[in-house]
Amino acid sequence: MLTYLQRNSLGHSSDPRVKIIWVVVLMGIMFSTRTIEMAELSLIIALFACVFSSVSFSEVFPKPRFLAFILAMPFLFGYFFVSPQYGIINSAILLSALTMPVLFILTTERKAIVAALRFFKLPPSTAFSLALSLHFLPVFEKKFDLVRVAQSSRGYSGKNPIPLAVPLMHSVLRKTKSLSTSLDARAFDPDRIPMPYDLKMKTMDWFALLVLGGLVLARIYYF
Amino acid sequence: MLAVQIDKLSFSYSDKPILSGISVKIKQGEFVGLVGKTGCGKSTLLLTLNGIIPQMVNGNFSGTVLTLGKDATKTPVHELARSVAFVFQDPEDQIFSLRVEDEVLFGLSNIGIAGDEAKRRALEALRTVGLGEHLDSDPHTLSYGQKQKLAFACALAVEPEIFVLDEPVSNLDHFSSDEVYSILGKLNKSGKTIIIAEHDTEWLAEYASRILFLNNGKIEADGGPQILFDNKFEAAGVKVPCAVKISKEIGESLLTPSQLITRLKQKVKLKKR
Ligand SMILES: Nc1ncnc2c1ncn2[C@@H]1O[C@H](COP(=O)(O)OP(=O)(O)OP(=O)(O)O)[C@@H](O)[C@H]1O
Ligand SMILES: [Mg+2]
Repeated sequence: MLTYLQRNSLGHSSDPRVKIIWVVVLMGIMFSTRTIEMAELSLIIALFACVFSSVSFSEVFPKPRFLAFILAMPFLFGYFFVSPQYGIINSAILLSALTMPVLFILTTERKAIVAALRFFKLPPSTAFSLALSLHFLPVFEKKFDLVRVAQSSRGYSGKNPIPLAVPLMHSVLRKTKSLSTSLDARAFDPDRIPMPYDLKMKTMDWFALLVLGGLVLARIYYF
Repeated sequence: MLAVQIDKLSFSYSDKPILSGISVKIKQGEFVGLVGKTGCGKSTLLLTLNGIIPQMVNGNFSGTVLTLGKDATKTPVHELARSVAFVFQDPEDQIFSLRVEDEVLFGLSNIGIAGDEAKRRALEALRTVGLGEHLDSDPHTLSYGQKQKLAFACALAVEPEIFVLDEPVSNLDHFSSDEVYSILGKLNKSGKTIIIAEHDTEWLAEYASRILFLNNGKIEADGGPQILFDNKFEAAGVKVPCAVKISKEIGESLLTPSQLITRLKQKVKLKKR
């Protein structure tokens, strides 16, 4: 499930700010370069990121069918509109690019996310709600399963997404509403949340930034 | 033919076993109450009956499940939906239409019933649950209890052989729960098989012909509703009917409030004489 996994790894102990920079910059690099070399490189980076976070591939993508569905789209698009090779590049890059934010969520505590977002000068309430919505991803994942089960039991097997999307949307809206009401009822003020998380750059974090800088340079001069 | 035949069924979502080696046969026309404390795996067991587990849910599955003679582990879920109708705990998981009637028609069209026949069934089902006046309403504006009844109507309209219900009245008031159970009672009299998970056994004492007690992944007790007198149910976190508690106190074995009242009246008369 898409939620924080408590573990001891390099990925877990790195600074959340560095991780955010990595995710954003790397996704930028990956999506802006559609070559076979970039596809290979990004798969390698994604693999290393998993190893450094001691997270297995099946934990990053626990639902292979869903993943296949997501990867099939860009693949088919590339395959039919450009070339078969382009289709492969497309889905390889998407796969690695998706891995990064998922790893971020799996290895970063909520309070670390809030602290990092606030460091980047996001207003406290925005930082809080962003982090909170990450926290609710698994809840919606579970809800999605329940909805799918309920509709299938009624004989639903088609491709029409409405019977799945509408109940899920209603549930999201209801949850948001009840959550904000209950926060209000408890006189919650995001501006007054203390920042209990200590942000500290370690040697390893500086090193990670250096590697990222190298990748940016490589992107500019080689790809 | 048996309604359900489960043999050596084991299932776990991850490492922790939820069902371990369950074997049970349910005949057609039985009214079965599946009880057990929260989290014991009632919903999980129900989901094997129409193939959702193992076809749609990941986990470690072994054993066989035959529903009306069909292999539920292989027969597509949408095909089983013709003969097995489910009612889940949260009706909001399924409601998506803009009209109450359309919500019922959706399930019917999935199993290939359309046109006048579908309309007739939808109207009849909605009338049965008391939503006959709401055909054109937006389902999302209904109260929660009404939504629950709508979900029930969706199942009724399918006219299946087997009804599987997962705590269908947990959000209804006493009066509406009574309605739902008396409809189930009537369906059962007309030969339908009812399988229902509950942790409150008040209604089961009155309507069920058989109680299955699920504990530690096994069926630990199986018998008529009078087995609710066994002390182990309360110990295991099942809410035992009030009538059972009282009649235990007075040394009787009566299941329902009405039986209890009749008996108490007799006792009082005896004393007066
Ligand atoms: N999709 C799932 N993934 C992982 N674990 C699950 C899943 N669904 C249920 N479980 C676990 O399996 C166990 C049995 O759950 P189940 O829903 O079958 O219990 P239940 O008897 O229906 O409980 P309740 O009375 O609360 O409805 C629980 O411990 C639950 O945490
Ligand atoms: Mg349940």
